[in-house]
Amino acid sequence: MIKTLSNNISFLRTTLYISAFVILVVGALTYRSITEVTKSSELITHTYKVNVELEQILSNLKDAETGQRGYIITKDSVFLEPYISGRSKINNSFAELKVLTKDDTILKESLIKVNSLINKRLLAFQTSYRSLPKGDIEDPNFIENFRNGRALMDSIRDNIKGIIKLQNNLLKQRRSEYESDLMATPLLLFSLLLCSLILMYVAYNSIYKNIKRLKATNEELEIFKESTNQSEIVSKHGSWTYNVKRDEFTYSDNLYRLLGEQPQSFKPTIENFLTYVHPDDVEKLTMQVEQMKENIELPYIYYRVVHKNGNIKHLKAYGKSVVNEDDETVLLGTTADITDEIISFRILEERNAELERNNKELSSFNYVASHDLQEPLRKIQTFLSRLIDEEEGKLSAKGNKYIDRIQNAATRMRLLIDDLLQFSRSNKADKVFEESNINLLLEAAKQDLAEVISAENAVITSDTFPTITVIPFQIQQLFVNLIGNAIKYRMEGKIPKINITHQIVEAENEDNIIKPKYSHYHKITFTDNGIGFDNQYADQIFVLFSRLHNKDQYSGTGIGLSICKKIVENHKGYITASGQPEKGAVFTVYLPIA
Amino acid sequence: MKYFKNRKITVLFIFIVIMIGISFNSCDELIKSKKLENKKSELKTQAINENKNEAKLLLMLSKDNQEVINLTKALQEVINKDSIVDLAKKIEETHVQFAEDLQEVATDKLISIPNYPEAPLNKSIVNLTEEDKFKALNKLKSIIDNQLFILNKLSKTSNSKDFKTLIVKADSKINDSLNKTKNILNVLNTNS
Repeated sequence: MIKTLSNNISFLRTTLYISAFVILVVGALTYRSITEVTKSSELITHTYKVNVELEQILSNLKDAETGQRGYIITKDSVFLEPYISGRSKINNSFAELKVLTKDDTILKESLIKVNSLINKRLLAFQTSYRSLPKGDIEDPNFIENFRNGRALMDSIRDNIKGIIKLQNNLLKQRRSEYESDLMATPLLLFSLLLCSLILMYVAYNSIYKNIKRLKATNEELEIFKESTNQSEIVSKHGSWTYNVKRDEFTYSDNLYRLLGEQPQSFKPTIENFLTYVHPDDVEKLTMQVEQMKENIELPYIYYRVVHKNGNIKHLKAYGKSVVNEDDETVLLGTTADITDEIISFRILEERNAELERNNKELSSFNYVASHDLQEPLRKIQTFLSRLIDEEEGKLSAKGNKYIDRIQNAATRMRLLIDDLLQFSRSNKADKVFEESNINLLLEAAKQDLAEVISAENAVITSDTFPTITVIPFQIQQLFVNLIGNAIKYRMEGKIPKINITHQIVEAENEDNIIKPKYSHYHKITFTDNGIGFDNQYADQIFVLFSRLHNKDQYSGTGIGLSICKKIVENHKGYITASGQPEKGAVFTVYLPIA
Repeated sequence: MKYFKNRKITVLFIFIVIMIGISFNSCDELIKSKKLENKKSELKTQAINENKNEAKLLLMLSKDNQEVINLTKALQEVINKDSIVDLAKKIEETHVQFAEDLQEVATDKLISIPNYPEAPLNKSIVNLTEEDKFKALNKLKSIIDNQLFILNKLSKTSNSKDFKTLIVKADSKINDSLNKTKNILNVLNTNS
């Protein structure tokens, strides 16, 4: 949006420059055209003046000629007046022409020629009437002179006409230029003004669109502002800005509320703000503000404020610097009321401590109880063994039966205590992870179960495992428990077969992995051909002391799979079970690849 | 200087300054152009008047010169003393030469003057009687004097280099003619 507006502003600026340029060009062209028109007009006037003066010269000569004829006929010297004053008049015209033709050498040459002819013609006048015998106009010399005069007059007329023709041609050319100027100028001006109008329309259109877009954006901003205000109130935080250059703060309405004040009720300065800060935190906050001004950054800071009613609130503030359009560095900050979180955190901490304490007590009780229970049990078993050895023949059948039952109960009690101790150790043990050879751990587990495996002729097949970072003795225990479990719950009349496979899987492709913390896991699957179980008990079997069969059918304490679950959880992994009655069970262990 | 940091204000400021500059300049140009036009027109009129004046004076000078030539020619006919005839002859030659110089300048300056060397003599002047010779000499003296006056006036009014050259060249000669005329008059007065 900002980019579009910025592009539009550039477009408008360009349009403004182009329009200004077009107007300047129009102005310059108009000025030039008017100057040209004025020049053309002056040139036309000039040509007319030259022509008028030439015609004037011819007219004066004609007057002189007429006067001469009148004198010859009448002998009245009055007729000579045009001749006498003619030369002066001609000179006056020449004086004008000389100025008009100052820069035209061709015309000047022609005029010199005309002048020479005029001189000759005037001389011919003089010669003619001076040589005239008294009253004899038939005199051959006179006639000869008269004819010469006529020829000179024709020559002068031709020359002047030639010059006038030349001037007229020039005039025609100038008029045509003048007319073309007059024709071209309005067309050019109109085109340019049309361009200017189009540009203005385009600019107007763009401005109109921009205003519409700005209006819409403003409305959105208003909504956003209101929603920000609301969210500030709901989430109990306020925002502020600090202009580094001008050393000025602005506070949002909710920041005032966080201080227990009405919005904009005091001037947003750091000094005013500090009056609300808890006296114990003032010094620390002042120092942090000074550092903020210096570094133009504010890391997370925590302090307390005291409302006027005495309530103490815990606040957390953070600021980040940005550079605005005017190249000014502004610190944008957020202050949040974390009083509720602090209270909750404290309660949580207390509860955690209590829980930890209880857990410790429970563990130590478990351990101590299990350990201490062994001692009386050992004595029971020892004395029971002595009783059997020494008094076996003396007891009645009923007595022997009771002793058997006591022995069984004691054995079961020992098993239970052993398992409890193991479970307790799996909780307590130091969790030392090592890069371990799983193949060796599996072999060690098999060794632990060698007697049972051999007795039941169990067949165990397995993949080759890579090294995995684990707590070795726990993983060995996991293998022992799961293999032992598979052998224990074998199908009557069937050789127990256990297949252990390994593969590396992606967490997102496995449905059994819920909320994975790692992307990849080692998937170890234990498949047996035992009695299996109904899938509805898939989760229940991992619960401590939970058993699906009664103890007379299958011995056991119901702790083994709980230990397995605990071990896998210690490794941040997952364990699942699935089964089909009479067909077998599958235990899947997922260990993360860190 | 603070404001100049803002690009928009700077551009606007420069634009306004340029516009004001152009406006002032164009107004000034118009005023200057008008003044120039008036001055040009004035100079043109002045040049025309000067040309007219020059033509007028040259024409007068030329007419006087022709008169001088005619009178000296006539005087040569009526005066018997050889030394005086020689003087008159010299005056004639000087003024014929002057007429040629005048013609040359007039052609160049586009001024029409009577081409007297080629013109026939005025019979009223040529046919002098013995009694008229003093009158004629006095007239000659006054015409030559007038020529000097016209030359003087021309030198004051004209700025043309050609005219200045002509005046410098002619002035001493015409003065010489005047002196010669005065000499003739003195000699004739002494003899009578």
